[in-house]
Amino acid sequence: MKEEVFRLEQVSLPPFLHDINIQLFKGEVVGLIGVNALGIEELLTIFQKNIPLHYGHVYCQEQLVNDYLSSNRKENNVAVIDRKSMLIDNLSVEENLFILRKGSKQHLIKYKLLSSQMQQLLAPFHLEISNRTLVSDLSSFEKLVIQFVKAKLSRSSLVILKDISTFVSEMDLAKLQPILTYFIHEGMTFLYVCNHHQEAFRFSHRCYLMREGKIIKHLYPDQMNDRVINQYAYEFKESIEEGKRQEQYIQRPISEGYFKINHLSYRNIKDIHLQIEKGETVVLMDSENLILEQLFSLLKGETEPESGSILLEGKRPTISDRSIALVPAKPEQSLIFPQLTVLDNLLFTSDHKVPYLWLTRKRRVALGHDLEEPFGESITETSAEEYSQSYKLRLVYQRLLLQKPTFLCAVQPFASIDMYQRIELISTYDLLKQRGTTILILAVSLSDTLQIADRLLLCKDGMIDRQLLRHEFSQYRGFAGSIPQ
Amino acid sequence: MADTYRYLESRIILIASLFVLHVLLVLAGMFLYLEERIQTPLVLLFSLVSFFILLAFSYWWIVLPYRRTKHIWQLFATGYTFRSIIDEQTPLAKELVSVNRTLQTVLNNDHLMNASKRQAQFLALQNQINPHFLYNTLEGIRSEALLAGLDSVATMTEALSTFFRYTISNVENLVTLGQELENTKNYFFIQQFRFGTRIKLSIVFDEEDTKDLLLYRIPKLTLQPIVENCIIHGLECKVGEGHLLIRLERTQSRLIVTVSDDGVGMDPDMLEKIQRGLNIRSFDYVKREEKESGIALVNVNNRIKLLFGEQYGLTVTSQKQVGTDVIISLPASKQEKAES
Repeated sequence: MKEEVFRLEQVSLPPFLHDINIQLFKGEVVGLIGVNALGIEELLTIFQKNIPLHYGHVYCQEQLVNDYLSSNRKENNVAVIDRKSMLIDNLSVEENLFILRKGSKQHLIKYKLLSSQMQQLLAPFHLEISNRTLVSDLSSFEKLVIQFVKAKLSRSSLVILKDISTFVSEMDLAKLQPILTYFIHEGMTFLYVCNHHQEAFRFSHRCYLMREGKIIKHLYPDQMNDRVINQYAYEFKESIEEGKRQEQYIQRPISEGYFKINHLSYRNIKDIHLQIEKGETVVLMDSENLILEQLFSLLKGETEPESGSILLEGKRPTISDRSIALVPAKPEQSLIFPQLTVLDNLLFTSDHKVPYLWLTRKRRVALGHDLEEPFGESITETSAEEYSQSYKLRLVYQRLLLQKPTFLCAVQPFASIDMYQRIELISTYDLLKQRGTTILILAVSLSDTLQIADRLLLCKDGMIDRQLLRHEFSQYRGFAGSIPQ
Repeated sequence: MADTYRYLESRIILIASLFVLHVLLVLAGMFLYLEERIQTPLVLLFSLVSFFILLAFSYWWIVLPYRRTKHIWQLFATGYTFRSIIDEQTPLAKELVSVNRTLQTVLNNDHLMNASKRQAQFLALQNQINPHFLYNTLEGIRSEALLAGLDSVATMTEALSTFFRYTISNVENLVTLGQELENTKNYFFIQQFRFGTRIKLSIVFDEEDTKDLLLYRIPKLTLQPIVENCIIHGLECKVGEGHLLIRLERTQSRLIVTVSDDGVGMDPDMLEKIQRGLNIRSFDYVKREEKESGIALVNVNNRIKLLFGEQYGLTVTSQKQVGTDVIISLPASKQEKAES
C-alpha cells in the first residue's frame, strides 16, 4: 500500500490555480513541469503554508491541514531547496545542520560530537568536508547535499527541489541520482520542479505537467518520453525547431576575430583562448561550474586577469561602453531598477543614441509612445517593480534591443523560465543575431542555448576541451535541453 | 446560551449592546472627570483599552465567521459546493438554519426524484424486456450456436448475457472493485467483436495490493461507462491500434482508479466544458440529450459525490493526439466478504 505524504484535492486559487489534484507518496520523486509559469509559485506556497483557498482540501500525511473553510496559515514541514540556499553562509556545516533546526534544545554545544555526527551523516555520499567548514566555502553541490541532510534531520514530509539545474552544474547533477535514491530509501519524498521535461524525466518516478494553473497531464513512466511531451509543447516545436529561423545559421559570419580572449588565466581559468566572429553566437559550456563566475567578473572589469587579455575589436572592453551588454543570470532581478518607471528602465542604456535623454522628460515620453503597445499605456507612471517576472525579463531584453550592443555576454539566459518565455527569448536572440551582434553565452547547463548557437565550446578543468559546430551538436549528450535539428 | 450565540445575528446584537454600554460608561467617566469627582484620567485609559478589546473580539467573533459564511454562499452560488451550506458553522440567523434544512430536503428530493426517475426507466426497461425471458433467449441462442459449432457466436452471446445480468438485475449501490472490473472486461470483450485486435485493455496495480484490492467497494457502473466513453470518443476515431489502461492505486484512505486511453483526445473547449460539468454541482445533465458526450462522466461523478462526499469524484485531463485520462478518487472502503 502506498503511503500518502501530501494530497491536494480540487484546490482552486483563481486566477492562479484551477482544480488542482496532486498526490505524493512516500519514497518517490515526482516531477512538476511548468509549460508556463502561471500558478507554480502559488502551488509551492500551498505545499509550504496553509494559506486561504478559494476551494479545495489539502492533506498532509492523511490529516486535513487546509481547506476552503478554514486556513490556519501555519507552515507545513516542507523543505524548499532552490537557488537561494536555506543554509547560513557564515556558519559552519555542523551549526547549520544541528543547531539551526526546529527542536534543537542544546545549550552547551559540543562541536567534537557534532562534527563526528556530521561525518557519519555524510559518509554515504563520499563527501569530504572537514570539521567546522563554513558553508560559504562549500561548492553548490556540497551545499545541495547538506540541505538534503538538513531536510532529513528536520523530518520534512516533503522536499521541494526547485530549478536546481540553474545553480548545480551538469557534472554534479549526474551525481545526484544515487543521492536521491539513498534519501528515497530513507523514506523521503521529493517534488522536482523545473521547466525542462528531460531534466524532470531523468530523476522522477512520475510527473505532473502544468499549464495556465491547471494540471494538464499526469505522466506515468511509460508516458515520460519526447513523443508525448511534444504534443504539449507543439508551439516550441513549430516556432523554434521547425521554423524558418534555422536558415540564419547557414549564413557565414560577416567578418573575423571580432571578440578575442587571448591565453587568459585567472584562478580556475587556465589558458583560455577563443575567438568569436562578428554576428556569431558561441556557447561556453562549463559543466563543472568552475570558471563562469570568474570569467563574467573579468568581462565586467571587476578584476584583472593573471595573464592574457580580453579584446573587443582589438581594444580592451570597458563596462561603460554602450556597445557591450552584459546580462547576468536572472536579469529580471538584478538589472531592473525598482525606483524607476518602466519607461526609464527601458531607456536606461539608450542615452548614447538620444542626446540629452535624461535632461528632458518630454523626449523620453515621446520615445515611449512606440513602446506602449508591448508594455502598456502607463509605462511613464508605473514602477517596473509592480510587474511580473516575465514582464521584467521582456523589459530587460527590450532595453538591450534599444541599446543595440555589438557584443553581448549572457549567463544562463534560459534558466528558470517557462516555454513561452523561452520562445520569446529565442526570438530576441534571433533579432540580435540578425543585427550582427556577437554573442557569448556562458552556461552550466544547456537548456535551449543550442537553439541560438553557432558553436559550442566545452570546458574541462578550466580549459576549453572541445569545440562542436552546429551540425555536430547532436554529438553532445547534455543533461537536458533541446538540440537544433 | 452558547447555542444562542452560534448565530451572527445574536453576536452582532450582543457586541452592539456592549459598544453602547461602553460609550455610556466612557461618557459617564468623562463627566465625572470633568466634574473633578474622579481625580485620575486612568478611567480614560481603561476605556481605550476596553474599546480595543471589544474591537478585536468583534473581529474574531463576527468579521471572520461572516467572511467564511459569505465565501460558502459564494461557492454555493457558483456551484462549487452543496454540502458546506448545510454544515455551516456560523449561520447568519436561526431562521436561516431552517432555510438550509429545507434546502437540504429539496436537494435530497431532487436527487431522489432523479434516482426514482432512473429507477422507473430501469423498471420500464425490465418490464419491456423481462430479464428472465432475455437471459433464457440468450442462453438458447448460445446453445444453438454451440450445436452448430459457432463458438464465437456462443462466446459473444454469453458475454452479452452476463453484461445484461449485471447491468439490469443487481440494484444495490455498491459492488466490489473485482465485480466492476469483471463487468468492464466483459463489456470490453463484447466491443472487441466489433473492433477486433484494434483495441487493447490492460489493468495494472501493485503486486503487493493483489490480495485485497479487488475487495474494495465502489458504486456500481462506475468503470464501464467511462471505458465506453474512452472507446466511443477516444479510440473509435483513431487510426491504428488503441490502448486502454486501467491503473489501480490505493492509499490508507483512498482508492484511485485511472482510466487512460491513447485515442484522439479532446479539443480544449470540449475539455473545459467537461471539467466545468465535473466541478460544479448540478443535476442539469439529466435534462440534456442522452448522446451528448461527457454526460456519463458527469453522471458517475455526481453519484460518487452524493454517495461519499464532495471531496471524491472524477478529474479529466486530455490532449489532442495524446489521449484522455479519467482519474476516479474514491474512499478506501473494503468489504471483508465479497458480495455474490
